[in-house]
Amino acid sequence: MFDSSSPEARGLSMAQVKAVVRADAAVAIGYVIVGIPFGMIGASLGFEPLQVFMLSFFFLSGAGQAMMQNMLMAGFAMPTVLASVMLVSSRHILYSAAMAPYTRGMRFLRRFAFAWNLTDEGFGVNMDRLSSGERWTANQIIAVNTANQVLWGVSTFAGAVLVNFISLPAAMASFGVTCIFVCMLVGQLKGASTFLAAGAAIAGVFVAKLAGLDGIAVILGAIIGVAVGFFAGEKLGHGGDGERLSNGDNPAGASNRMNEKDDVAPSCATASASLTPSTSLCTGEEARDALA
Amino acid sequence: MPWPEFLPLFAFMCIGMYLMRLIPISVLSDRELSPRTKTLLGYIPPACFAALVANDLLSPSMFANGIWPGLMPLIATAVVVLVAAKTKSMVWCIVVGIAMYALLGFVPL
Repeated sequence: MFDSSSPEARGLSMAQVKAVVRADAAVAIGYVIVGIPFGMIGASLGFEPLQVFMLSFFFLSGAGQAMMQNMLMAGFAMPTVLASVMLVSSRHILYSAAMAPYTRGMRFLRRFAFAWNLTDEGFGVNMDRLSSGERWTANQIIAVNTANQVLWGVSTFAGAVLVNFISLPAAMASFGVTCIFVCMLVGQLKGASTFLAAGAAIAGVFVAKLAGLDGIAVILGAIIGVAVGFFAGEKLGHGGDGERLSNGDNPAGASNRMNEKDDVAPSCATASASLTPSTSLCTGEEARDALA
Repeated sequence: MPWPEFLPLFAFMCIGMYLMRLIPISVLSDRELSPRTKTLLGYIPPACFAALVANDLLSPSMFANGIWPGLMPLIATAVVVLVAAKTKSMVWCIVVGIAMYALLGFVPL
């Protein structure tokens, strides 16, 4: 749940730092495991270690970086490469939009710090914490994103430097990233409409690839998934699985309502703080379990 | 890559990326979103993660080198889904997923 009490506060307490380390440890390990072979691939394709680091640290999009490297080496023209990379990275528009309610009342620079290093994994970790009962502050969101950014930059740089000394199975390392996405996806599937959203996104990606639209398959699939999930939720009653709608489908206001609900049914209150629509629903069974 | 080619590409990519990351958060943060918009935004995480998984696993040419090489990551992913549902632990997902991927690579098919 988002702690919006002091959006401009600086610094983190030791407990908050520990919570960040706990929440982000798996992603951090994954970044190191994947970053080293990723940097090795970049260097073997002709990029200097410093160039690999600059891309990883400032551009900070593994999929975009991989696409850029492959297309450049395949001889595509620069504008084509740029357009493709921007398209495949355009899912960040959706992430940014989803994070927007948490930046209410912040100054521009603070928002910049909030958003400039947002990654797939950082978004997943923060959304997971915001969906939980644990208080999660703006500084913790920034800390997760910054830790990921630094680790990704350093790991890929190390890989680019080490390319002449060691060899790592890149396919296996790459599958590690897929596992991270799978874990994050499973954590978001909490109602029929979210299953439909995910299924539609998967189908959308595959159809886009069949049509030769590989470069925009992810964003197309995601948009189709969001649309299908939304309309299915409307038809089926938001959660799409017969649950009653609680007042928790507002991510920005969730923290305010938490206090009202905490005393009654903690697990339901936790669920209601989630950004995921289906988790904003609380069944009678859950309420009984929580009270028990 | 030569620096005179790299730097303009790098600059354009970064500018484009920062605009994509910053414009929605700047435009939407101080507005009171309607409940339907908030609900709509809530479907972004499952849809995006599903799309990313599908992008990693599925392609029209995934069985071009035979059924098994295309099927192998799907089987490993199915196991990861079970681990994720059971443990909710990212570390276990990575460990089991990579181990399954490596083990399945030894299957003589």
